[in-house]
Amino acid sequence: MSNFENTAYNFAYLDEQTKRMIRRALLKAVAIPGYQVPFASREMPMPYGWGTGGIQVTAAVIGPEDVLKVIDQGSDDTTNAVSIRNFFQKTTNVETTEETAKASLIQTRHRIPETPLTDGQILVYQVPIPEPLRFLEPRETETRKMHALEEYGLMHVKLYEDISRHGDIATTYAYPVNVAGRYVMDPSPTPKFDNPKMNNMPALQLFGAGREKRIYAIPPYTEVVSLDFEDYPFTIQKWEEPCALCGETESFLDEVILDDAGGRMFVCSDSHYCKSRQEQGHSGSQSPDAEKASREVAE
Amino acid sequence: MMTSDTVPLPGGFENNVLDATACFRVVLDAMARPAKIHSLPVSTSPPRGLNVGTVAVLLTLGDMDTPVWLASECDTAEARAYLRFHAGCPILEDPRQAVFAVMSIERDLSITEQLSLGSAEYPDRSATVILESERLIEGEGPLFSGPGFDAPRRFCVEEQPASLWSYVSANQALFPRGLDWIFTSDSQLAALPRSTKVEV
Repeated sequence: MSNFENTAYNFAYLDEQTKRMIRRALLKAVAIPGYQVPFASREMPMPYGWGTGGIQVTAAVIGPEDVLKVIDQGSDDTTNAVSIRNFFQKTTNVETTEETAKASLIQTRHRIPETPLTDGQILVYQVPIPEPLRFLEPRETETRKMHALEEYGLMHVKLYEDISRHGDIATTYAYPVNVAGRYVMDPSPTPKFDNPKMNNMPALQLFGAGREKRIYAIPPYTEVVSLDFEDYPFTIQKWEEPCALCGETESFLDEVILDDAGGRMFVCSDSHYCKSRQEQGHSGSQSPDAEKASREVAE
Repeated sequence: MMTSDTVPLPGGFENNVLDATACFRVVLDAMARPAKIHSLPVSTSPPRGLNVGTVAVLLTLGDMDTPVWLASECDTAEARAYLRFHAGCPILEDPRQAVFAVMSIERDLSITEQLSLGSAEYPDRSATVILESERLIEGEGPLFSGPGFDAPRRFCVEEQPASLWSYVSANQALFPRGLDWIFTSDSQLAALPRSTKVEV
């Protein structure tokens, strides 16, 4: 059945009673889309801020048949992604992948892959501050009451103040959304570029906040609306240039500083998406081939 | 030698860890895609009074933190002993404190009015109803829609009382408070979370 033979740990690290507690919270979270279910978050063998909430959710969900992908800011090969992937390799021995379409379970820190997710996949978000109203109202008793009464005027005031101060809604990440017409939810600090992907997504989305001890969820095919105003509609970020490596114009780009003289490039934040486009023959202004070609022209 | 008050117990999961994981994925998928019928990934021999689906759910999610209430038709000495031994669940006489309430689909469902619906501030502190039946049927019955539906689906249960859908519908009106419903048979499982709307 399973080729898991590491007897030093239980499968997926957590003990079975902890998994049951998290699993019960996950079911409530799915039944009440966007509502933050309190759970008895455990200490994990890594500090808060490294995705302990997401890891606990993944550990409660993952099975021996799963194929796991872990990304950090879209990238499969940064420290956080590599260490979490190694953690699950060690404690579950599941197959891992960088290919979005091949993964059955994806744990992410602050990005949704560019390749559209499909029915049957599960996306687990690492969340630092789950409460969208927290910076407007510090008291948990009050924010809980506001959610109970569906009293979200304060959030609109915040967005309005953005407009009066900056001329438009200056919130660019952790942009608040309304889920299934009821709860206002923090989509975790993903760039607002990814918000439209959450709407009617065929995959199940699970959110885990370890330090704040909250779990929430968006079932598949659920309406997720970014808050806005009729005269200031929600818009996503746009870039003036395409990805410097694969020439993509529709993806989320990271700015990379090249030197101390103002040199910079913009590249896809989704490393696997960018790589597979390059393999398909797409190129950008800083592709190794393009650079070679322009050098040859200059010579 | 076995004394007269000793009840022989059927076994629980063959592999506690992996069977519970497989069953949880089925329950999670059932909640995320309501009114869709799932096959059970395990086959256990349940005690008298309970079916395989119910046992799979309670062995996966039940422990000392989840008081269980059994309706009279499920409440056998074997079922009590089984749940206490394999899951460690307290068995309640009073349904109001129950986290899981187990009953047959054929009974009078007015008992569900006594179950906890959660509060406006903590709607998660509500009970889950496990309804046992002979067979779950996809593509017939009332039309369901809501979160988790790419298109509305039909679903019904063999021998269901006429009042079932009015209870489900009244429960949905309480959203975000309310009960979540899990339907079980010996080989199938489906769920209707409180977010699912029903057109009778």
